Amino acid sequence: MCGIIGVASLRYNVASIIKSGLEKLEYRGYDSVGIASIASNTILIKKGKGKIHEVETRYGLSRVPGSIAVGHTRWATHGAPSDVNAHPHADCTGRVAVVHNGIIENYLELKEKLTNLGHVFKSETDTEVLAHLIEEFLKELKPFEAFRKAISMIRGSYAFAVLISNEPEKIFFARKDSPLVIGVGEGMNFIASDIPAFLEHTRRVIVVHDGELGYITPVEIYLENSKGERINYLERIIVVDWTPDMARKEGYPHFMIKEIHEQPRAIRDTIRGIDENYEKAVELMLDSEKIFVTAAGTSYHASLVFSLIMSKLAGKLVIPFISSEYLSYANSADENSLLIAVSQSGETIDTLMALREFKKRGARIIALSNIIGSAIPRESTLAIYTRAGPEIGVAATKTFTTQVTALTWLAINFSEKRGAINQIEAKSLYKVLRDIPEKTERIISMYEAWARSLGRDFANKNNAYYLGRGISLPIAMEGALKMKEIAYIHAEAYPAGESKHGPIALIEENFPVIFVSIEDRLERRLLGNIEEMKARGAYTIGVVPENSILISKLDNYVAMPRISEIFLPILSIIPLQLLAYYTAVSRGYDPDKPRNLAKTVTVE
Amino acid sequence: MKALVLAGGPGRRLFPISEEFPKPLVRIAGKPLVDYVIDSLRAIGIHSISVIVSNREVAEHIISSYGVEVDVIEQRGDSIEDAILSAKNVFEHEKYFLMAYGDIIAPIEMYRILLETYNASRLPVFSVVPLEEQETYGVAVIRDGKIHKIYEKPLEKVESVYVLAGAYILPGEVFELVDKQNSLTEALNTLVSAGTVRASLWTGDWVDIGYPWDIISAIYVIFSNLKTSNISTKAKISPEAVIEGPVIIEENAFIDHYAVIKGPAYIGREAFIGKGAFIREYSCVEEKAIVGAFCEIKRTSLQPEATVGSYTLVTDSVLGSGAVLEARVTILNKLPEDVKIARLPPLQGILRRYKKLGAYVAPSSRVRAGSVIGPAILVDRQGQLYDILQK
Repeated sequence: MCGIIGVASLRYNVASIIKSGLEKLEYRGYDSVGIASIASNTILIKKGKGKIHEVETRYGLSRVPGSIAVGHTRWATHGAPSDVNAHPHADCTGRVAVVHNGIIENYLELKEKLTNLGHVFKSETDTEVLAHLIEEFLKELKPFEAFRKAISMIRGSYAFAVLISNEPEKIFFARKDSPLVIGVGEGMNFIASDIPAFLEHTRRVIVVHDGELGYITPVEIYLENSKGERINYLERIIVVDWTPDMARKEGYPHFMIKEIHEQPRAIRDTIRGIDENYEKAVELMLDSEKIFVTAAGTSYHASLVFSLIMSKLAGKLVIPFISSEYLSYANSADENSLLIAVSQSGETIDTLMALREFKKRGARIIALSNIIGSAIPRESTLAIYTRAGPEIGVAATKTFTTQVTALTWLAINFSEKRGAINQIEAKSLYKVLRDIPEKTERIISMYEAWARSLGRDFANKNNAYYLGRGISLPIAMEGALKMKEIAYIHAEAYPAGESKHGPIALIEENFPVIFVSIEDRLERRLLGNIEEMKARGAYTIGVVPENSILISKLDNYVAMPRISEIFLPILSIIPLQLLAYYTAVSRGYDPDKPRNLAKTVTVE
Repeated sequence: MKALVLAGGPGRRLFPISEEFPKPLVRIAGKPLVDYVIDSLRAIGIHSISVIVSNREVAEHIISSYGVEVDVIEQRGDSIEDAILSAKNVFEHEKYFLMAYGDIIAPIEMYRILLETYNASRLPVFSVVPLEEQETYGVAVIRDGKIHKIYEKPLEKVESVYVLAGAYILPGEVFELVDKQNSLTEALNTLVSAGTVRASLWTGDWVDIGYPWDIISAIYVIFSNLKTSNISTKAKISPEAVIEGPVIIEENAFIDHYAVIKGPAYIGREAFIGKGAFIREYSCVEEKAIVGAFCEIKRTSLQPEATVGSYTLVTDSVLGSGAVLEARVTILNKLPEDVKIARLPPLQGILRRYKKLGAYVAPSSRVRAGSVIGPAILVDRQGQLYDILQK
C-alpha cells in the first residue's frame, strides 16, 4: 500500500498542498516520500527515505516550486526503502515522473525489454518501468497517447499519477485495483489515493473506476473508460460530507475491527510472500546449534507459539524470551547461536537491543517484521517479512496472525528438511496452511455476533482468567493482553494446571474464566480444571475444537474446525480479538486509542 | 443524496401496543420512534428526506415537527413492497438513494458509516450488524466485505451472524426490480447477485422495534450514553424526593414527597410521580403519564397518559398510550430458564441473571384493581389476556 497525490493549480507553488495531502495519506505507508513538480517545463524531483517530516527537514519538500506536482508516500513492496527507491521515478531523460500505488506483475519482463532498448534503471522498483515505457513511446506519440499505450502494457494493480514535461499543465492518471479519486476544485484539480488528501480544498469528488484513465489540468478534467470512450465526468461528481479521520476506516467504525476483518487477506498475502529468504532462514536454523526467539508484547506470544510448534513438530528446542530480558539470556549466545527477532514495526527498542547484544557474541540474526527495511531487519543477517500492510490500531491483530503464519511455515519447512516429518506430511501441512485465510474468514463471520453479545456481559466485569495448556497457552496470553489493552479489564493468563496453585483463590460467583484448548492430547487434563472453576461459581467460556468433550462442561464456547493443531493458534485468537473489541466498544472506549499505549515502543 | 424512510405498515408484531395506535408515534424517552431516524439522517447532512406513512396522525406529526423539510408520502397497501413502490415516482430517477427503516434505534454513527462506505465505493451498500439471534430478522451472508446473499427471516440456520440493520444505499433501479419481482428480498438479492453490494459493518448499539419488549431494549440503548442528569427548572420536585443517577426530567413534571428516582430514567412533561413512588433503572414515564403513590416501576415504558394506580408493581413492561393499571396490580416478570422467546431484553438480576418479561398493555386498555398478572402477558384493548409463552 502506498499513497499518491497530484495537484494541478493555476496558482504557484503547490508543494505545500502536496505535503499536507501526503500527511493525510501517511496511514497508507510512511517509509519514504517524494514530490515531483513541473516548473519552466522542467521536472524537479525531491525524494528520500524516512517519514514526511524527516524528508521535509532534509530536502524541503514543501519548497519545491511549480504549480503542477505529484507526491508519494511509500510502503515498500519491491525494493527496500531508500532514497533511490522512493517515488517519484523518472525516465532516462528526466521528462517523465511517475508515482504509483500497486504492484506491476510483469515488471521484470518489461524491464528486460527496456534495458535491451538501452534504458538505464536507477531503482529496484517495479514502478520505474512505466517511466521508461512512456519515454519509449514519446519518441513517436503525443504524451497522452504514449501514456495510454504504456498503461496498456502494464499487468497488475495500479493507481498512477504521471507528469510529462512536454505538456506541463497536465497530470495523467490511470487506475486498476488500487484506489484513485479526483477532487474537483476551483482553478485547482486533484488526483489522490484517498479523499482526505484534498478534503481541505474541495468536497467535490469523482471516484475513478477500474480501467479508467485520463488527465487533469487546473481547469479541465478528461476521463475515459477502458474502451477509450470519453466519460462525462460531471455526472459522476459527488459531494462528500465527512471528516478526514473517518474516511480512512473504509466504512468500519474503528481501525481495529477493520484490521480484524483484514486478516484473511493479510494471511493470504503473507503466504504468497514466502520467498527465497524464508528458505534461507530455514537453512540458517538447520545450521544453528542453539535457536533463540525474542520479541515484546503480542510478537512475544507469536514467538511462544513458534517455540512450542518447533518442539512439537521438529523436536527442536527453541528458547523464547521477552526481549527486555535479553541481558539474562545473551550470555549463553555464541557463534553457533541463532536469534530470531520478531517485531511488527522492526523498531521495537528492546528487541533491537537484544539483537545487538547477541550479534556482539557472534550469533546470527533472522528478523521477522512487517516493515521492510526497518531497523531490526537492517541490522540482521537475514530479514523475512509478514505482508499485513500498515496496522493503525494500537492493539495488534493482523500482525499477530501473520507472524504466526510465517513462523508456522518456518517450523514446517524446518521439520521437513530436518527429516522430522516426511514430504507427504509436509505437503499436506502446506495445503492446510493455504486454506487458513478462508477458514479465518469463516471464523470471523461465525463468531462476530457471539463476541458482540458476550462483550456486553464482559463490559460489567473487572477481572478475568484466560487458561490454556500447550500451544493454547500463548493464545490465552494474547487474548488476555487484548482484553487488558483496549477494554481495561484485568485479565490474567495462566497455564491451566497452574491455576489451582493460587489464582483459583480469587474465583467467585460469575467470575469469567476463558479456556483455550486446541490440543487433543491435553483436553482430558483440562476437564478437571473446568470442573474446579465451575465448582466455585466461575462462568466458563471455551475456545475448543468441534465436538470437544469439554463442550458439555462449559457455560459458553466457540468451536474451531478439526484441522492440524499447529494451525489452530491462528484461528483461535480471532474470537478473543473480537471479544476484546466488542467489550471495549460496549464499555464506551475507543479501541484504536488505548490510554497509555503507543503503537511502536522505541524507548527502553 | 435523498433519503427514504419507511414508517408505514400496521406494525403487527408490536401488538397490542400498536392496536389502533400508529407504531411510529410510540414514544421512547420523549421522542416518537420515527423521529430517531429522521433526526439521525439530518445530522449526517441529508436534507432531502421523504417518509412513507400509512396513518394520518403520523403524517400530521411529521408535518408539524419538521414542516417543509421532510416530505410525507402516503403508503398504498400493507406490505413492504407496497411501501417502497409508493415512493417509486419520487425516487426512481435517483442514481442512488438512502433507504432507512423507521423503526430502528441506533446511534447516528451507523448512518454516517453507511454513507461513508458508499462514498468510498460508489456502489450499493447495506448496513449489517452482528447478532446471534437471527430468526426474526433479515440475514446477510458476507464474503470479502461484500454481501453474498440475503435471507428474510430464515427458518434454517444460515451460516452467518450478520443481520440487515435496516439502512441501505440503493440504486434507483431497485423500484423496477421490486415492481417486477414483487418481493423486496428478491429485488435486493438481484442487486446482490451482481457482486457489487458492499457491507457496512456496524458494531455498536442497535435495536429494531418489532416486539413490544424491544422498546425496553431501546431504552437501554438510549440511556447507554446518558452520563449526566438534565432536570428542567420548570419541573416541580418535592424537596423530600430523592433523585440518584442520571435522569432526564422535563418541564412541569411533578414529583411528590418521598418519591425515589434511580436513574437512568426519564420523566416526561407533565408526568406525575405520586408520593413514595419508586422509579427504578431503565424506566420511561412519558408525557402526562401518572404513577400513583407507593408504586414501584422498573425497566418499563409508560406511554403518554398511561396511568399506574397506587401500590402497583410494574417491571419489564410497556403500557400503551392511555392504558390504566388500577390500584394494587402486581405484574410478575420472571420467566422459566428454558423458555425461548425472540429478542429478550438484556438479562436481569443482581447475583444470578434471569430472563424477564412483564405485561404489554394495549393503549386505553384497563387492568382491574388487585390483579396479579404475568409473566409475559399481552393485554388487548378489551382487557383480554394472552400468554406469550403459549403463543
